[in-house]
Amino acid sequence: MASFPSSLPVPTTRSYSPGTYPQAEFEAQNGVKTIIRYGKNRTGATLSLGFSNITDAQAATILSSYEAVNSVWDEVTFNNTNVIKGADSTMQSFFIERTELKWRYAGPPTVQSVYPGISNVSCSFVACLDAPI
Amino acid sequence: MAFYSGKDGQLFIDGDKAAKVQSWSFSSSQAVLETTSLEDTDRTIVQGVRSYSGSARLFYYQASAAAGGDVSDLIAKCIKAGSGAGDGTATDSSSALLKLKIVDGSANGRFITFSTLITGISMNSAVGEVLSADISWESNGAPTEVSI
Repeated sequence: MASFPSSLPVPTTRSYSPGTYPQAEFEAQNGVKTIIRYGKNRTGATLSLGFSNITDAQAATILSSYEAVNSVWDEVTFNNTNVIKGADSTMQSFFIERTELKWRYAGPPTVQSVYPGISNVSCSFVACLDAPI
Repeated sequence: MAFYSGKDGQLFIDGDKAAKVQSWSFSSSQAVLETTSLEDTDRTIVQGVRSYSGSARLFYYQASAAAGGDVSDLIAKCIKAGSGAGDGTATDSSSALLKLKIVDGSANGRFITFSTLITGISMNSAVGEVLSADISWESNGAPTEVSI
Protein backbone atom coordinates (compact mmCIF):
# COMPACT_ATOMS: atom_id res chain seq x y z
CA MET A 1 0.00 0.00 0.00
CA ALA A 2 1.66 3.24 -1.13
CA SER A 3 0.58 6.75 -0.27
CA PHE A 4 -0.01 9.18 -3.12
CA PRO A 5 2.76 11.82 -2.95
CA SER A 6 1.94 14.05 0.01
CA SER A 7 4.17 16.86 -1.31
CA LEU A 8 1.76 17.61 -4.14
CA PRO A 9 -0.56 20.59 -3.81
CA VAL A 10 -4.33 20.28 -3.63
CA PRO A 11 -5.59 19.21 -7.08
CA THR A 12 -6.92 21.82 -9.47
CA THR A 13 -9.76 19.50 -10.46
CA ARG A 14 -11.18 16.35 -8.96
CA SER A 15 -13.91 14.10 -10.32
CA TYR A 16 -15.35 11.15 -8.42
CA SER A 17 -17.87 8.46 -9.25
CA PRO A 18 -18.91 5.90 -6.56
CA GLY A 19 -19.18 2.98 -9.00
CA THR A 20 -21.96 0.48 -9.40
CA TYR A 21 -23.34 -2.62 -7.72
CA PRO A 22 -22.64 -5.95 -9.45
CA GLN A 23 -25.93 -7.00 -10.99
CA ALA A 24 -27.53 -8.24 -14.12
CA GLU A 25 -30.77 -6.87 -15.48
CA PHE A 26 -33.29 -8.81 -17.54
CA GLU A 27 -36.25 -7.21 -19.22
CA ALA A 28 -39.07 -9.40 -20.39
CA GLN A 29 -41.03 -8.76 -23.50
CA ASN A 30 -43.87 -7.31 -21.44
CA GLY A 31 -41.44 -4.78 -19.91
CA VAL A 32 -41.10 -6.46 -16.55
CA LYS A 33 -37.55 -6.15 -15.21
CA THR A 34 -35.78 -8.75 -13.13
CA ILE A 35 -32.55 -7.75 -11.41
CA ILE A 36 -30.15 -10.27 -10.01
CA ARG A 37 -27.75 -8.70 -7.52
CA TYR A 38 -24.52 -10.66 -7.16
CA GLY A 39 -23.01 -8.74 -4.26
CA LYS A 40 -23.81 -6.05 -1.71
CA ASN A 41 -20.72 -3.91 -2.26
CA ARG A 42 -20.38 -1.32 -4.98
CA THR A 43 -17.24 -1.48 -7.03
CA GLY A 44 -15.52 0.33 -9.87
CA ALA A 45 -15.45 3.73 -8.18
CA THR A 46 -13.39 6.21 -10.20
CA LEU A 47 -11.38 9.23 -9.15
CA SER A 48 -9.79 11.61 -11.69
CA LEU A 49 -7.34 14.27 -10.59
CA GLY A 50 -6.00 17.25 -12.51
CA PHE A 51 -3.00 19.28 -11.43
CA SER A 52 -2.57 22.47 -13.46
CA ASN A 53 0.65 24.43 -13.75
CA ILE A 54 2.70 22.49 -11.21
CA THR A 55 6.47 22.28 -11.30
CA ASP A 56 8.17 19.54 -13.28
CA ALA A 57 9.60 18.20 -10.00
CA GLN A 58 6.06 17.80 -8.64
CA ALA A 59 4.92 16.17 -11.88
CA ALA A 60 7.83 13.74 -11.64
CA THR A 61 6.64 12.59 -8.20
CA ILE A 62 3.35 11.47 -9.77
CA LEU A 63 5.22 9.53 -12.45
CA SER A 64 7.45 7.96 -9.81
CA SER A 65 4.39 7.00 -7.79
CA TYR A 66 2.84 5.37 -10.86
CA GLU A 67 6.03 3.38 -11.47
CA ALA A 68 6.42 2.34 -7.83
CA VAL A 69 2.77 1.31 -7.46
CA ASN A 70 2.11 -0.42 -10.75
CA SER A 71 5.44 -2.21 -11.07
CA VAL A 72 4.48 -4.43 -8.13
CA TRP A 73 0.68 -4.26 -8.52
CA ASP A 74 0.32 -2.26 -5.32
CA GLU A 75 -2.52 0.07 -4.39
CA VAL A 76 -2.62 3.80 -3.68
CA THR A 77 -4.01 5.51 -0.59
CA PHE A 78 -5.07 9.12 -0.29
CA ASN A 79 -5.32 9.34 3.49
CA ASN A 80 -3.48 12.36 4.89
CA THR A 81 -2.69 13.74 1.42
CA ASN A 82 -3.79 16.94 -0.25
CA VAL A 83 -5.85 14.93 -2.75
CA ILE A 84 -8.88 14.94 -0.44
CA LYS A 85 -8.68 18.59 0.65
CA GLY A 86 -11.18 21.18 -0.44
CA ALA A 87 -14.11 18.89 0.45
CA ASP A 88 -15.94 18.35 3.71
CA SER A 89 -15.26 15.27 5.82
CA THR A 90 -18.22 13.30 4.44
CA MET A 91 -17.00 13.69 0.88
CA GLN A 92 -13.43 12.99 1.97
CA SER A 93 -14.51 9.59 3.31
CA PHE A 94 -15.70 8.69 -0.20
CA PHE A 95 -12.41 9.79 -1.74
CA ILE A 96 -10.54 7.59 0.70
CA GLU A 97 -13.01 4.72 0.17
CA ARG A 98 -13.71 1.72 2.38
CA THR A 99 -10.79 -0.54 3.30
CA GLU A 100 -11.98 -3.41 1.08
CA LEU A 101 -11.88 -1.17 -2.00
CA LYS A 102 -8.37 -0.56 -3.30
CA TRP A 103 -7.44 2.41 -5.44
CA ARG A 104 -5.26 1.57 -8.40
CA TYR A 105 -4.11 3.62 -11.35
CA ALA A 106 -6.71 3.24 -14.12
CA GLY A 107 -4.03 4.10 -16.65
CA PRO A 108 -0.74 5.98 -16.97
CA PRO A 109 -0.75 9.65 -15.94
CA THR A 110 -0.62 12.25 -18.71
CA VAL A 111 1.90 15.08 -18.47
CA GLN A 112 1.59 18.18 -20.66
CA SER A 113 4.46 20.67 -20.64
CA VAL A 114 3.11 24.23 -20.83
CA TYR A 115 6.08 26.41 -19.91
CA PRO A 116 9.74 25.70 -19.05
CA GLY A 117 9.57 23.83 -15.76
CA ILE A 118 5.77 23.92 -15.58
CA SER A 119 3.42 21.05 -16.47
CA ASN A 120 -0.21 19.99 -16.35
CA VAL A 121 -0.79 16.44 -15.10
CA SER A 122 -3.92 14.32 -15.14
CA CYS A 123 -4.23 10.93 -13.51
CA SER A 124 -7.15 8.62 -12.90
CA PHE A 125 -7.81 5.81 -10.47
CA VAL A 126 -10.29 2.97 -10.18
CA ALA A 127 -11.29 1.29 -6.92
CA CYS A 128 -11.29 -2.46 -7.16
CA LEU A 129 -12.53 -5.30 -5.00
CA ASP A 130 -9.72 -7.79 -5.00
CA ALA A 131 -10.47 -11.51 -4.93
CA PRO A 132 -9.58 -13.11 -1.60
CA ILE A 133 -6.25 -14.89 -1.65
CA MET B 1 13.61 66.01 -11.66
CA ALA B 2 12.50 66.50 -15.25
CA PHE B 3 9.58 65.77 -17.49
CA TYR B 4 10.03 64.70 -21.10
CA SER B 5 8.00 65.32 -24.21
CA GLY B 6 8.00 64.37 -27.85
CA LYS B 7 11.03 66.52 -28.58
CA ASP B 8 13.07 64.19 -26.37
CA GLY B 9 12.05 61.01 -28.18
CA GLN B 10 14.18 59.25 -30.76
CA LEU B 11 13.83 56.04 -32.76
CA PHE B 12 16.80 54.05 -34.02
CA ILE B 13 16.36 51.47 -36.77
CA ASP B 14 19.15 48.90 -37.00
CA GLY B 15 21.44 51.28 -35.15
CA ASP B 16 20.74 54.36 -37.28
CA LYS B 17 18.72 57.28 -35.96
CA ALA B 18 15.46 57.55 -37.84
CA ALA B 19 14.56 60.92 -39.28
CA LYS B 20 11.12 62.54 -39.02
CA VAL B 21 9.60 60.29 -36.40
CA GLN B 22 6.25 61.59 -35.17
CA SER B 23 5.66 59.06 -32.43
CA TRP B 24 6.68 55.72 -30.99
CA SER B 25 5.09 53.46 -28.44
CA PHE B 26 5.59 50.06 -26.94
CA SER B 27 3.71 47.80 -24.56
CA SER B 28 4.57 44.65 -22.73
CA SER B 29 2.31 41.99 -21.34
CA GLN B 30 2.86 39.16 -18.90
CA ALA B 31 0.80 36.03 -19.35
CA VAL B 32 -0.13 34.15 -16.20
CA LEU B 33 -0.71 30.47 -15.47
CA GLU B 34 -3.44 29.78 -12.96
CA THR B 35 -2.54 27.63 -9.99
CA THR B 36 -5.81 27.96 -8.09
CA SER B 37 -6.65 24.66 -6.41
CA LEU B 38 -9.75 23.21 -4.79
CA GLU B 39 -8.93 24.46 -1.32
CA ASP B 40 -8.29 28.06 -2.33
CA THR B 41 -10.58 31.03 -1.78
CA ASP B 42 -8.56 33.37 -3.95
CA ARG B 43 -7.01 32.95 -7.37
CA THR B 44 -3.29 32.17 -7.38
CA ILE B 45 -0.98 32.44 -10.36
CA VAL B 46 2.58 31.94 -11.55
CA GLN B 47 4.27 33.74 -14.39
CA GLY B 48 3.90 32.61 -17.98
CA VAL B 49 5.48 34.13 -21.07
CA ARG B 50 6.09 37.81 -21.66
CA SER B 51 5.44 39.56 -24.97
CA TYR B 52 6.15 43.00 -26.37
CA SER B 53 4.67 45.02 -29.19
CA GLY B 54 4.66 48.59 -30.34
CA SER B 55 4.01 51.07 -33.05
CA ALA B 56 5.50 54.17 -34.60
CA ARG B 57 4.51 56.88 -37.01
CA LEU B 58 7.13 58.29 -39.37
CA PHE B 59 6.89 60.88 -42.11
CA TYR B 60 7.76 59.47 -45.53
CA TYR B 61 10.95 61.50 -45.97
CA GLN B 62 13.80 61.36 -48.44
CA ALA B 63 16.94 63.49 -48.21
CA SER B 64 16.95 63.68 -52.02
CA ALA B 65 14.94 62.23 -54.87
CA ALA B 66 14.98 58.44 -55.06
CA ALA B 67 17.28 58.30 -52.04
CA GLY B 68 14.86 56.24 -50.00
CA GLY B 69 14.49 56.71 -46.28
CA ASP B 70 13.50 55.09 -43.03
CA VAL B 71 9.99 54.24 -44.16
CA SER B 72 11.38 52.66 -47.32
CA ASP B 73 13.78 50.62 -45.21
CA LEU B 74 11.00 49.39 -42.94
CA ILE B 75 8.76 48.57 -45.88
CA ALA B 76 11.58 46.59 -47.45
CA LYS B 77 11.75 44.46 -44.32
CA CYS B 78 8.18 43.27 -44.45
CA ILE B 79 7.04 43.64 -48.05
CA LYS B 80 9.04 41.56 -50.52
CA ALA B 81 8.42 41.64 -54.25
CA GLY B 82 7.84 38.34 -56.00
CA SER B 83 9.27 37.28 -59.37
CA GLY B 84 5.98 37.77 -61.16
CA ALA B 85 2.22 37.63 -60.86
CA GLY B 86 1.05 34.76 -58.69
CA ASP B 87 4.46 34.20 -57.08
CA GLY B 88 3.72 32.61 -53.73
CA THR B 89 7.32 32.03 -52.68
CA ALA B 90 8.89 35.47 -52.24
CA THR B 91 11.68 36.15 -49.75
CA ASP B 92 10.98 35.91 -46.02
CA SER B 93 10.49 39.10 -44.03
CA SER B 94 13.51 40.50 -42.22
CA SER B 95 13.83 41.54 -38.60
CA ALA B 96 14.41 45.11 -37.48
CA LEU B 97 16.35 46.19 -34.41
CA LEU B 98 14.33 49.06 -32.95
CA LYS B 99 15.72 51.25 -30.19
CA LEU B 100 13.21 53.54 -28.49
CA LYS B 101 15.11 56.32 -26.76
CA ILE B 102 14.46 59.28 -24.50
CA VAL B 103 17.14 61.96 -24.60
CA ASP B 104 17.55 62.92 -20.94
CA GLY B 105 20.85 64.74 -21.10
CA SER B 106 22.94 61.76 -20.04
CA ALA B 107 25.57 60.28 -22.34
CA ASN B 108 23.40 57.40 -23.53
CA GLY B 109 19.92 58.57 -22.65
CA ARG B 110 17.21 56.17 -21.57
CA PHE B 111 16.30 53.45 -24.04
CA ILE B 112 14.86 50.03 -24.68
CA THR B 113 15.81 47.93 -27.69
CA PHE B 114 13.82 45.15 -29.33
CA SER B 115 14.57 42.75 -32.14
CA THR B 116 11.30 42.93 -33.97
CA LEU B 117 9.27 41.74 -36.89
CA ILE B 118 7.25 44.45 -38.55
CA THR B 119 3.66 43.20 -38.41
CA GLY B 120 1.99 46.05 -40.24
CA ILE B 121 2.64 49.13 -42.30
CA SER B 122 0.02 51.48 -43.64
CA MET B 123 0.45 54.60 -45.72
CA ASN B 124 -2.17 56.97 -47.04
CA SER B 125 -1.66 59.79 -49.54
CA ALA B 126 -4.33 62.47 -49.25
CA VAL B 127 -4.82 66.09 -50.23
CA GLY B 128 -3.71 68.48 -47.50
CA GLU B 129 -1.74 65.90 -45.55
CA VAL B 130 1.94 65.11 -45.31
CA LEU B 131 2.62 61.56 -46.37
CA SER B 132 3.40 59.38 -43.35
CA ALA B 133 3.49 55.72 -42.44
CA ASP B 134 2.11 53.88 -39.41
CA ILE B 135 4.06 50.80 -38.50
CA SER B 136 3.33 48.13 -35.93
CA TRP B 137 5.71 45.52 -34.66
CA GLU B 138 6.10 42.62 -32.27
CA SER B 139 9.28 41.71 -30.46
CA ASN B 140 11.08 38.45 -31.10
CA GLY B 141 12.13 37.41 -27.64
CA ALA B 142 13.10 39.61 -24.73
CA PRO B 143 14.40 43.17 -25.25
CA THR B 144 18.10 43.15 -26.07
CA GLU B 145 18.68 46.27 -23.94
CA VAL B 146 16.62 47.73 -21.12
CA SER B 147 17.70 51.05 -19.68
CA ILE B 148 14.52 53.08 -19.70
